Amino acid sequence: MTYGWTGKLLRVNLSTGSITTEDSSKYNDYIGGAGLGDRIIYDEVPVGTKPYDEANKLIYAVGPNTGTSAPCSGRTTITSLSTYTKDNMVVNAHMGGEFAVQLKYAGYDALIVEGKASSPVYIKVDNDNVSIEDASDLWGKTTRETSKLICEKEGQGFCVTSIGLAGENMVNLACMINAANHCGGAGTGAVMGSKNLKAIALYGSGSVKVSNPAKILELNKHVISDLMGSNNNHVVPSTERPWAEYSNPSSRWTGRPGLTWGAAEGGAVDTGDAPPGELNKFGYRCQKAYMDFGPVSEKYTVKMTGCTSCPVRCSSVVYLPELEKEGYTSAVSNTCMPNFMWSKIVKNYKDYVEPEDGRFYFNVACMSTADDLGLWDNYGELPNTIAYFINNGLLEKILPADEFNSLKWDLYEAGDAGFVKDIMYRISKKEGVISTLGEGAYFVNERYKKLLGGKYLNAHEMSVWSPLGWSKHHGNEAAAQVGALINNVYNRDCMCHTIVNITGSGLPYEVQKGIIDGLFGEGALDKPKAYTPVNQAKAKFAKFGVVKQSLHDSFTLCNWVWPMTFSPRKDRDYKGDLTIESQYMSAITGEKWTEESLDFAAERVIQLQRAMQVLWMNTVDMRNAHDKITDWPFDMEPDFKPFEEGTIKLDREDMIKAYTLFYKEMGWDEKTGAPTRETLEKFGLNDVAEKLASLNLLP
Amino acid sequence: MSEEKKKGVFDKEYSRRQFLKISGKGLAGVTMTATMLSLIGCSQQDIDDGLVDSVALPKGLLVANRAKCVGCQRCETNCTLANDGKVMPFIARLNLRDNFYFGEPGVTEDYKHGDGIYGLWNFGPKTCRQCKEPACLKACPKGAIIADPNTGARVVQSDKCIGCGACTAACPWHIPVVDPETKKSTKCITCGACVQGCPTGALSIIDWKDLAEAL
Repeated sequence: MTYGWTGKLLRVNLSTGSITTEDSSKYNDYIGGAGLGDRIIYDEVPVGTKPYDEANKLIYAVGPNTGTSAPCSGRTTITSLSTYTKDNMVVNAHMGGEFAVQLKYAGYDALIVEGKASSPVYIKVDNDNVSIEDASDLWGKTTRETSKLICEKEGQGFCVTSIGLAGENMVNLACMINAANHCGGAGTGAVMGSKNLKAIALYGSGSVKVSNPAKILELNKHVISDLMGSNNNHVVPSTERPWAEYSNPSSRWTGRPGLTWGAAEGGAVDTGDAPPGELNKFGYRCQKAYMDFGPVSEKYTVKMTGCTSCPVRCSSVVYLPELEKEGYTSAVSNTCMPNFMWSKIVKNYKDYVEPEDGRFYFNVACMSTADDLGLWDNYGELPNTIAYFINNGLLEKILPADEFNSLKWDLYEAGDAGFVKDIMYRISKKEGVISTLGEGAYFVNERYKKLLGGKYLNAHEMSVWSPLGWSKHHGNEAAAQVGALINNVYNRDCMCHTIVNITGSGLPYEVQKGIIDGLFGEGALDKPKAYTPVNQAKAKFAKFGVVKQSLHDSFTLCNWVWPMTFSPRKDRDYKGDLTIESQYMSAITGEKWTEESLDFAAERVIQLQRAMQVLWMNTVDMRNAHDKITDWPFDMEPDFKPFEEGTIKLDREDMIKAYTLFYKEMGWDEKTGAPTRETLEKFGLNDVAEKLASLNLLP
Repeated sequence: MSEEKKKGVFDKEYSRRQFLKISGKGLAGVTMTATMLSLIGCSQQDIDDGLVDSVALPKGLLVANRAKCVGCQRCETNCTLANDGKVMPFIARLNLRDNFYFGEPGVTEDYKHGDGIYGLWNFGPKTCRQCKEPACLKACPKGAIIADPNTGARVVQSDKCIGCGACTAACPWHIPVVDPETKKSTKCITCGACVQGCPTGALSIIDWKDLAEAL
């Protein structure tokens, strides 16, 4: 019997119509998810392939932990080539919702989509019955309409993952959406569009086998009762509570008596107190609408939702009937960036029901539209880019006068979301010059380089981290150099939360420091905004951050919550337990796994992706070719010098040293940052080392 | 059995009968006291509107409150891990996943105002009703479904079940499901695993004794 993994890969070739299955166990060394996806791209997609080439592939993969009921194990990793960052290297998109468990229960560890259909299609997976279906009538539909139409035909229980106009038209910043609002980004929606793949419909009625079901149940109870906090594993409540030693207003553990889901069916539901140990109240801790939209949203909050198996529920459902009158889907759910970034484009907001509710309505209207279109905000980069072009008078310079004047400037002045909706549709249809803003910051900069004069990519308000075009995703504000280092590991915004979940946990600095320095050495964690020059402990801390993330993206687990570095329990001295993932792996597989052995497998995935960066960029000089940072983190806060109290501004020389120390931790050449033969062979990547050697790409 | 324990059982049974006498099959049509509403965690309006589902179990009243259900489906995974030793929501003894997107009526033209996440985000699990006159039991050609003498729950005797699916077809809510892997029907035995693992208490069992005191 196969435990954890299903043992099967499903391969669908859209060019030939061939549908086959194969043994997935050859990829078990890579755990699953991101690891499996990266290895398949390495094995099957030639270096230099472009994202929209027929030769590019999409690998939707889960792991041994997916669907086991481990809290937050409903994640899918989609691997393909980047549409929007320089050199179009391999990227992993991280998607929650329902896709992961349906794929697993249908009996597959991964779905590989290759080739290109001659006309629009969707893939239907009903357990063993897999078919390619005509989607001509679905082309042009929103993601929600697509789901409705497919479920009408195939059955109401099918999980539909689809693209909207943005994906169909191969807008670089296109995503796929499953289960109404769960997004797989990084341009993977555009790759679907390039293959004429409108949707994937999944229904699984099979099982996930585990070696020790009683132990899984025991771990679930322990994690939820004793180790997990709230969204981003914030382990203290945001307000003072009699049972809590600490509180922190920044905490996403916002639930408290008197704060409600105000629009719950039948009347408000109070979020109340959910102290550690009370499993049946856990799901009330994160009132995320209140966090993302502010107090005005409380009365519109229906409930919290999220991915299958997750008790945290970080996605806030709000229902705004007024928006329906203006043509928006008005009962929607989302979390974080899509909830608050779009309003940055305008200066004022049209109020709806009461004073000061305009910004909330504006954001919900935009988020609802983006989900209809399958348009990805790229961790805020797209709204930032639109705002940058407007605010700096650049839009009128790049657009023909007719097009500029045709924008709905009256709505802009009125603070009406219709202004942004119109731009979103133009971008998604690739209509007019304004649609070039959806190409991603790197390509926008390349296209308008002369006009932008080196300022755009380096502007603090753009928050672009890499000159290769990806956004900051918890960078120098998360443990200074530690967060900064992590932001250059991948070929997109790093999506790593291991570190920020620690610094943002809500625990006092002294408590954090005691635990973190204990793990990685003295000086690993500086006081916020009072950081010191880099040291080896920080490099170890950074490595921990990405290894755990790689583990979660492969296993799969949600890195927005995991690992359990801290706990909300005072009687544990707030210490979490970093062995939990390996305890799950042992209980699932019946094999003996330790934190070290599981981390080793997770690190293999990073080593492979690093080798792929060397191959794709055709240079060993990763330090200069890949690991550069834009100017703003070094030039921000001009009144401060680096290391002064009050700033997180980075120092250029210090970061050069930081990379050297990090490369040493990763077993990469300290000068170039390229993986050495010794390191690759340590992880069993001998064939990769040989390939690099044959191309003279070993340091 | 000690006198004290006997009394406890007697009280529990008495409360259940007392409650059922008042409430019939569940809460519908019952005017609740403030204490009872507090116990169940809902308002009288919720009960009148049929938003709070309830099933009388031997150990207490099983309450499923849609407003509190956040859709994590942990009830389904916990159910099958505890009862089947594997994770298999398809055979879970309660069902959320199939109605999660569009609600029980399925896809409708006005889906945006209906139940489920493509509608107004109202949903909750369908649970086994432990019917007084169970259609599943009556339909079984092998007499494999019996009332458990200890718990009163209607349970499937695996050795007698032939996996024909008559119970699934007969149940108005299609709650018993034949496991495609074992070819045996699965049905709620009132073990409470779903309730124990529910992170919002959307599923709860209210002890008969507590309910009786609140009557």
